[in-house]
Amino acid sequence: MTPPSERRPAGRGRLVLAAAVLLALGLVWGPTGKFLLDGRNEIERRAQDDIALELATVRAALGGVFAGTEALLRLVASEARGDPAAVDLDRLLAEAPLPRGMIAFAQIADSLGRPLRSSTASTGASLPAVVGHLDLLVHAPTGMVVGAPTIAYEGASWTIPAARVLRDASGRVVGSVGVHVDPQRLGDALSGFAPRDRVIVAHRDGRQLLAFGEPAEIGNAHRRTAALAGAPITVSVERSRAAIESEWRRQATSPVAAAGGASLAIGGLAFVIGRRRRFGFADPPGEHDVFAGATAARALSDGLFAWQAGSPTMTLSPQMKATIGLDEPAGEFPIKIVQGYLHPEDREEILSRLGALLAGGALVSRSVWRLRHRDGHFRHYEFRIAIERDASGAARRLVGSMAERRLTTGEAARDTVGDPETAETRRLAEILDTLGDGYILYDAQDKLVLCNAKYRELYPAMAEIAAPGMTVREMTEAFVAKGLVDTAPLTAEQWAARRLEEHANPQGSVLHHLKDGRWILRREKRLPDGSSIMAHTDITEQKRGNIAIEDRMRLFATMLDNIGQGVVVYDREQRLVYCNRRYVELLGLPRDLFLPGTPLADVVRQMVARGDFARMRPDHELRFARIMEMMAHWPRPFIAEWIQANGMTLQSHISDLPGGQSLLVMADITERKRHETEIETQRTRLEAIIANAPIAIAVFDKTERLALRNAQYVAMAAREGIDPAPGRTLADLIAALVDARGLDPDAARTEVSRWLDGARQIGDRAIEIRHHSGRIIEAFSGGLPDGGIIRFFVDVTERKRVEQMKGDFVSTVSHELRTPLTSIAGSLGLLAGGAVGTLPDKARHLVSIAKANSDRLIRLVSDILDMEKIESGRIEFRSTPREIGPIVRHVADTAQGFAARYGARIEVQDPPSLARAMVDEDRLHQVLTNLVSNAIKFTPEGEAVRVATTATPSGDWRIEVVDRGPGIPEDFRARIFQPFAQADGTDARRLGGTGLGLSIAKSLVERMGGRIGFESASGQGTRFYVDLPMHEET
Amino acid sequence: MPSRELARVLFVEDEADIREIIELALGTVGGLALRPCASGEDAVGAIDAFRPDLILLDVMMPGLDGPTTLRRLRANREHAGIPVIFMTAKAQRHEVEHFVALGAAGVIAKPFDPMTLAEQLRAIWRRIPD
Repeated sequence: MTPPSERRPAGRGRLVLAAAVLLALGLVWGPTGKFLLDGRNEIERRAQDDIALELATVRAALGGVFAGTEALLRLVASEARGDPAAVDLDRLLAEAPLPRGMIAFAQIADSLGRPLRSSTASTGASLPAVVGHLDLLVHAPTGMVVGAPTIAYEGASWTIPAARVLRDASGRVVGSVGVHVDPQRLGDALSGFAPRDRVIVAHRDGRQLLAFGEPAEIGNAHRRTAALAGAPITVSVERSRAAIESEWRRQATSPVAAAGGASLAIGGLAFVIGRRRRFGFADPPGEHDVFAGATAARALSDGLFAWQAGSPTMTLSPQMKATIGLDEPAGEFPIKIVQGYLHPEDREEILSRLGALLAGGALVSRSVWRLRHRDGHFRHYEFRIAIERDASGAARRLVGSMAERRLTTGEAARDTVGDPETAETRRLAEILDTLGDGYILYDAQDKLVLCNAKYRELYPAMAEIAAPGMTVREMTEAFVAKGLVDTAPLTAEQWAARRLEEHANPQGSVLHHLKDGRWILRREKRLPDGSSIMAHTDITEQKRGNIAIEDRMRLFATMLDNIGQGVVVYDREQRLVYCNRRYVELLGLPRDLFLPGTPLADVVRQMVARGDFARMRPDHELRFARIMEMMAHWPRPFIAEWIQANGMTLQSHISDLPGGQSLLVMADITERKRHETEIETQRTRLEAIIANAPIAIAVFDKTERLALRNAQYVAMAAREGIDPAPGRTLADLIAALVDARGLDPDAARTEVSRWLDGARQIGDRAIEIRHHSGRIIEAFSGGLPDGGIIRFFVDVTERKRVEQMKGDFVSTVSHELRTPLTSIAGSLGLLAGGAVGTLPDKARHLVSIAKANSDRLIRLVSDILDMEKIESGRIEFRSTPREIGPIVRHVADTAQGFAARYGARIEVQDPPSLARAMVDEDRLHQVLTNLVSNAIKFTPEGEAVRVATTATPSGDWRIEVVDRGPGIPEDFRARIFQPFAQADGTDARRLGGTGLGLSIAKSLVERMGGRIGFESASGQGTRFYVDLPMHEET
Repeated sequence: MPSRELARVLFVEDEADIREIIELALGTVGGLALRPCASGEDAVGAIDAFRPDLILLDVMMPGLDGPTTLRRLRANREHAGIPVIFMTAKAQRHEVEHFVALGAAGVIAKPFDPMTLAEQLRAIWRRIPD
């Protein structure tokens, strides 16, 4: 018992209540005062009352268990009528409104006690394997038998078996059904209830089944015993006198005690109002719960209630109280009061249901009811009710549990208040749950029958509200109130009203635009029986997709209108679906031919009539048919090109689109065609040029592969035994050529490398190729814009031969000329020299004339030979770095004799020492000799010819030959270096010149990389100079 | 430089006119003892008897030309050391080198100056190493 300070004060309210009840029942007790006056007798009496109370409580607890047990057994028995083997024991156990955990397991045995079926699907108890079977079976005509405690499963547990006989229709015993009641839980429950009492549970025949608590002193205890209805059980409660006395003394001082109490004995159960604290309801709930014994209270979360037939009160567990909102500590309440805590709308229903249950003969009921919680929201509660009936079937007692349930749609469908469960509704609900749309089904009275999970998903805010029984109006108003939908431009009320109108007369589909941006399509249909079904589909994606598609379509159309090609789509029947502007432009036909739906044939007909497809062979009518056939039957994709009547060349690319449509993309290719023709013309021209050129031509691409060659090249290569296959590289071909020469590898490599370098040299430098056949080929390489090389090969054998011949001829001729000249010059020389005696003056003069001219002739022959060599390029040149000084001096020395004859002097101004140039010594000697000779010839007698060497600013050595002669006439100056140029008057030839000297000198100097020039002024002499680049010794 | 002056020259020239010129140039003007030969064979036969200091050899001759005559002459050990000077109308540089390579001491071009021919020979003679 709890200390006084923790007791919840009963309060005056309860007192009033108690008084009211008592008045109502016409039973009033006096105040406590009378009670106290009796003294010891009173204690005795109260003790008895207490025990009675305890007993009643225990009895109630156990009664619940056994009532439930009996109910189960009867249920099984009725199911097994005729065929015990067919009973679905699992289901029955699962459905049995039994206190959880109390029943260990159930078993059906045949008439000989052999087990037919077992089930451990008991009410929450978990069991190890069950061993054995009922060891006690008393075949009584009716009723339940309870066996002695027996060990029924492995381990140390033991049970109280309870059984019932199974009979067939004729009453013959066919078997038995037994349950094993778990006494441990029973004991636990009971022991928590009255720790100081001793509770004994016994079989009616006296066998003790259970006992808890401390045994009281024999003879010094109060004891009461009561039988348990419906089971052959007795319950006894014992309490020692000493305990009673001490307890009462304590309580006598409390105000509650002064309030007194009343006990009402109803039937076999005694409940006390005002003695609530005796039940410990002031104590924390659950400790002394009246149902503890029935329900393994510590684990219990269900609300429990119990009611005795005819009783105005019912007992509620703490959880039950909490559920319905009763704050009173008492466990037992007048039914009217309990009803007061129910929602008015539910009250009638519940009561009528209960009434129906009681009257109906059912032993157990398990159903889900939708009730309004005190917070106003609907909740679903599962009720498990067991009804204990007497032999006539009248209800004697009712025990039940109530627990909140979250329902599946099917269950919700089943359990609308007042509607019995129908298989069809359940099936419908199951189907609806598999669909992708949100569905609501309303009955003919516009009350919600069911809605599926998808609906709740679509509108989470409505999930709580959408429960069976809600009306369309309520749902609509809630929808609007929650601000789910954008009702603009209507007000919320208008929208709701419109919605209800629509519901009354559903027209089809309506699109809602929700405030959260979603688009929901709602379709509604009224069914023949007056009910209506509503489907909600979220088409947000589709809608967005549609908008996106429209945007894209527009963009696409804009794009198409701005591209350079005509685009047209025809459908399966060749009717126009879409075309862009350009298409119309290109064809240049009236616009009405290009309206959607217009046949392609009309367009083609017009085109043919106009003269388009100019180059098509068949005439007009056949043309049309041909074109249509092509459009219809040619395998796609294909390209068609034709010439319009106006000269345009059009090209159309025709392909298939999905769905059997055709796509044509048309372009004006007139320009392109023209270019192509031009290119083609040029190409053929070029090819003709190359093919017809009298020289071999080979074109190599930028990777040095042979790209093009003419027949001459092929022939030339064939002569060398080489196949100039296109694609062969330059290096490859050259290597093959060199190979054919049969050189040793090193020489061959060098040769190949030399040729390759030469071939790659773009320019006008020709490489001479001498074939072993004796042919001489000159090869030139030219560069191509794309990086390739074009090679020309000219057979110069003939030219070379001719040159050779010419050279040989000149050589021979000069030799032939020189031979007689030797004699002439020799003779004249001797004569003039006086070797054969003195000549008479006139003879000497003539001899001198002859000698001079023969000398000149000799020089001419040399010069002609030189000229020819220079011109043919066969002149020998050996340039080496030479000091200029010695050469100049040598020239001067050599010319001394000549100078003396003309009465002139040569003055040499020494060049700076180490003045060097790259020169062919002999040729420079020749040039300088020529200049000096000329100078000597023109210098007046007694004067000197000066030869000087200086450095020029431009880095040359300048060798000057200066004379004091008459100078070079103006009109001669331009021609002075030309062969055989004549100057009137001062003809050098008169003085023995050949007329070739200066031109040879010029050629030679230039060959040495220098320059020759002169300065002359009439009457002031002439200065000839030769500039030679300085050679620096490195 | 040879220890003594040039004195005896054997020359070979197929053209009679030129032979005369040479004779005058070398003999009358040059004061040298001469043995003119009209052909290579002639020279080969005459050399033993004449024992020249120097041989002047025309290049272009029918029959034995200059270079061949030279080889023949050289074949005989006795005459192998006699210096030879070629005379030719085609005195190209490469030809000069060619003749030098054959063993000639020098080359004289035709036409030559008869008044200085002997001097030219002497100049070449002086340059010959002993």
